[in-house]
Amino acid sequence: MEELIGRLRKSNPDAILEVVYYQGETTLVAEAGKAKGLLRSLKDDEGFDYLVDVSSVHWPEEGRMDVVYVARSLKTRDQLRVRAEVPDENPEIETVSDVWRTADWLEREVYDLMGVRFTGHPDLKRIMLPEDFEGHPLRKEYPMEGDDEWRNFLPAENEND
Amino acid sequence: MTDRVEEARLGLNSEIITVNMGPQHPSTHGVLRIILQLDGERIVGAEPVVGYLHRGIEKIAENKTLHQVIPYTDRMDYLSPVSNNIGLALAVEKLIGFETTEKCRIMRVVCCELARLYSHLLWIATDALDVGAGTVYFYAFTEREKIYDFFERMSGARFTVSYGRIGGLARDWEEGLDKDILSVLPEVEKCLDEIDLLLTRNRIWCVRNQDVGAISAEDAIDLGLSGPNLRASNVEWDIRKAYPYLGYDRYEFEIPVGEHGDCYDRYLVRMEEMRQSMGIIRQALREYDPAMPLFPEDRESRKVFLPPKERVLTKMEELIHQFIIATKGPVTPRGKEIYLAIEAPKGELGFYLVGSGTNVAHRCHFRSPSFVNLQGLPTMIEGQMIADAVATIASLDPVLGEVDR
Repeated sequence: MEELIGRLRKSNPDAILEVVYYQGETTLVAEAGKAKGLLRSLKDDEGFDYLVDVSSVHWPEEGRMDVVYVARSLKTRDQLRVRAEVPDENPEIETVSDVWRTADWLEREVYDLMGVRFTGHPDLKRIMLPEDFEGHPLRKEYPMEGDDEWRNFLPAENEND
Repeated sequence: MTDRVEEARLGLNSEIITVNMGPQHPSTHGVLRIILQLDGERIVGAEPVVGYLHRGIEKIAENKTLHQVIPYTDRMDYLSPVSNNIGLALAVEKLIGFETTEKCRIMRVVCCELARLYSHLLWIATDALDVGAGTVYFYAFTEREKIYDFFERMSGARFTVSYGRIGGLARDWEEGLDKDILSVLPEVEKCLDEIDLLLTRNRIWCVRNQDVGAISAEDAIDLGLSGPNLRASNVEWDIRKAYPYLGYDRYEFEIPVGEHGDCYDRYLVRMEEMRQSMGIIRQALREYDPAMPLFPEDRESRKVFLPPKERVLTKMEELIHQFIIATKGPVTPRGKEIYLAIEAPKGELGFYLVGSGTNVAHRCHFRSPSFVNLQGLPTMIEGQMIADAVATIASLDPVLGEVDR
């Protein structure tokens, strides 16, 4: 794993900001603009042929949105997590759906629920929620009970007035 | 395209028509909608539309204590709720760094494999029904009921069992349950043999399934398929072998793989998987000893594990632990993140948890296998007939509760 990270540092200078180890897992914190290059060299040069997951984490106090990729090599069984940090206001990052086709729906899910725009995505639209839904419910500022007209899942107030 | 040329020659003007399949079509196994572009009866384009069952489980999970999340995981893949419970428990245990007792591990393995067994039995029942073989449905459901009975005896519930707990399981097995499980396995085996006789060389079954919905190994990996759908495309990949959890590396079992990646191979792979699961259950129950302690005895572990009810009602210390665990639960380390994957019956079920420094996870993401598997559907059915689409959806085994979460 150390060698692999060394090679990645060489092929993608300044892309890796930090390496985090926890419970036997390795996380590469990547520069948002260079994350795609890093992921592409993971696939093309290191044989990480399988994209497991794309998800995101919202940190409202830091004003930050993490886009998290889990990539895996089915041959060597290595697994790496790449985390790219983008600002939580108008978050934007390049798509990797042209690197792994798996990313297509997974990125649409992140866009739908977190509001991260994936530039270059072939068909970036909502996947879980209705097309006319407003807001991105997994963001921390989105209220649990829904927002505006989408509050209708609660019993209407003052029903008997 | 040659068909179109032929049609033009014959003076048949055909145009591409758009047909909505679903969301209430019975063969879509839930509320799945597929927008089909049809040229006659041939599919030239397909776009699955999901989300009709979205309940925001991830959002709810980020506002509840970790113990309260367990019943929600039941409602994801409701055909194998136990493996979801246990997967979440394993993920939380990994995040807080806790290891459970040997007996609990064995019981979890048996539960996970029983879940695989009854999930696959339901799959073969509905798959055969969709293709037109009604008999199999009743054969498979008879055996499934017997396994449901075991879960009723374990947890009190049949369907959404919520049997897993962080650090362990809801309660110990009653006496003789392990013997009863062993005595039912030969009956399930006999049922599988019968299904095998009915289907495997059945002419109609072969024609409806062979070379239908085929996907190559490269496409399957690129599209992130997992579980039996990936293995049917001749990719030997199983989380239980690759990253053994629950001590799966101690048991001997094989990973069945297919050759062509078509519906027929997915059928063969799942049938063999059921037999392998029964082998694992037998090996695990050989290690099982009712006298072993389910609950850990050291001080630190007892602060994670919900104590047994009879001790809560009689001992002061256990009562305090019960109260603290039930109301507060384990505290997750802030900013730490883990990803834990288990081989659920449908494929790779992943849990991505981020700690918050409190008893509520900052982020709780579920990588559901059905969601990612369904993405491969257009690649499989384009160029095939409408009836093949029905067979392919059934053989993919999607559960919409898990797709939409």
